[in-house]
Amino acid sequence: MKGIASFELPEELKKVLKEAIRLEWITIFYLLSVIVVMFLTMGSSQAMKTAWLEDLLSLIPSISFLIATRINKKPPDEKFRYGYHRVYSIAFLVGASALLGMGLFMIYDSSMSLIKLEHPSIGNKTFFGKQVWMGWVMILALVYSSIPAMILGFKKLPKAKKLHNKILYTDAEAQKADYMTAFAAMAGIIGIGAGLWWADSAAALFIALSVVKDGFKYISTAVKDLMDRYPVTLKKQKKDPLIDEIEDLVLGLDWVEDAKIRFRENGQVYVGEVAIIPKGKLIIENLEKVNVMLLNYHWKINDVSIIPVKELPSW
Amino acid sequence: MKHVLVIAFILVLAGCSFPKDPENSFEKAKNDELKIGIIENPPFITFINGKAEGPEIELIKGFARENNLKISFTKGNESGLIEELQKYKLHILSGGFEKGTIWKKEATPTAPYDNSHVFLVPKGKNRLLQHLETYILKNQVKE
Repeated sequence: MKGIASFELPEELKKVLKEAIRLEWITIFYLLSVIVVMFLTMGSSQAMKTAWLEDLLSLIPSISFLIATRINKKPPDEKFRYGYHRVYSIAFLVGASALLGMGLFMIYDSSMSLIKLEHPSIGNKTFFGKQVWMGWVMILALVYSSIPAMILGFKKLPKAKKLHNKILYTDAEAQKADYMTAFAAMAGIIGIGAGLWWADSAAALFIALSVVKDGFKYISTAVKDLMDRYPVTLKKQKKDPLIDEIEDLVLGLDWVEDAKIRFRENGQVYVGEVAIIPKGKLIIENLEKVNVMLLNYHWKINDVSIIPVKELPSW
Repeated sequence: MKHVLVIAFILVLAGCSFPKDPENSFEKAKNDELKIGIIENPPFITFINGKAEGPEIELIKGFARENNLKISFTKGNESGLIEELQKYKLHILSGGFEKGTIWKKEATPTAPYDNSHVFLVPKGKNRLLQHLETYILKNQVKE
């Protein structure tokens, strides 16, 4: 029988998870190479520095996803009787906090270079005997930092939705939108080349603001999840229709007079209670049946307590 | 796709005189003169009877000749001339500076003309930097 002890995904989703793990490993190795390339080319451009920091930050979701997945696999034990599902929510909060903190630092750093009227210099280097303005090399580095990232993002997105995994989802969304950062930084570098020294810091500020915006959004979601808000869909953050389906299902049973349900998100899965006022005499077998029915209804329903009551609870 | 086209367009437009200086300093120096700050630091720059000599002076003269620039020299000490450079009152600072100079924050080191020695130019003067580096890289002597 399914229940809190069943912490595993259904067969078809196990495959999706495996694929997601593989993609995140690819992401990590790819990002490491981007970080090296960007570091070697960034020179004194503020926009490049900010884009580089952003790439560094984007390692966090991938790494925390891989770690959290490892912990999430564990069955409930003596100490953690509810299992390890919440590790995802915690990893999500930690990642979001890092994003916000770094974003605020980036805003400070870029504003300071704007206030101090810092004029960024971009020099020249010889490659194979040809002199090249490093600005062009930076733009190439930015192209390398964005196009593969976008492809990875698009590949991860449907998997995140299937798994109802927020870290994976935000990671995919952020990577999909990575071209924005790259374009901003490119505009900054072209600005420097056009003699507009402020374009660089302005581009950096734009990148920093978008990081802060994401940081706030993710922290808000992570905190709400940990505060046991009702389960929501990943994209629109609307109440998951699954919850209403379950309510209808329980109310539709012929032995149920009235019922009230509540669920919360524990990482990828939902946990909750169903309070039922039975028609006439309470039959224990009915309670057991409804429990089994709900657990088998959807893989996301991971644990349900059925509570027989005389009056519906106030929650 | 649209973005890519816009960027490509800007690149083509800009390609002719890229990178530019803010305030067009290099073009102004062409009409006026190139102001060089020099600091005595043998063997790179030595003052003999009030005249500056040494490999760095030769390089600067060569650079000026190639670009049809008149030059004027200002003698001084490091911190004083760095300040002038920061105020954009000088174009180039010469004085046997090393690649990892302590003035990296205040000024931009050029590409080294040998294994480790550089000139300093004001921050953000990317056209001047490019012309100077073009000359330096062509005449680079690596041991």
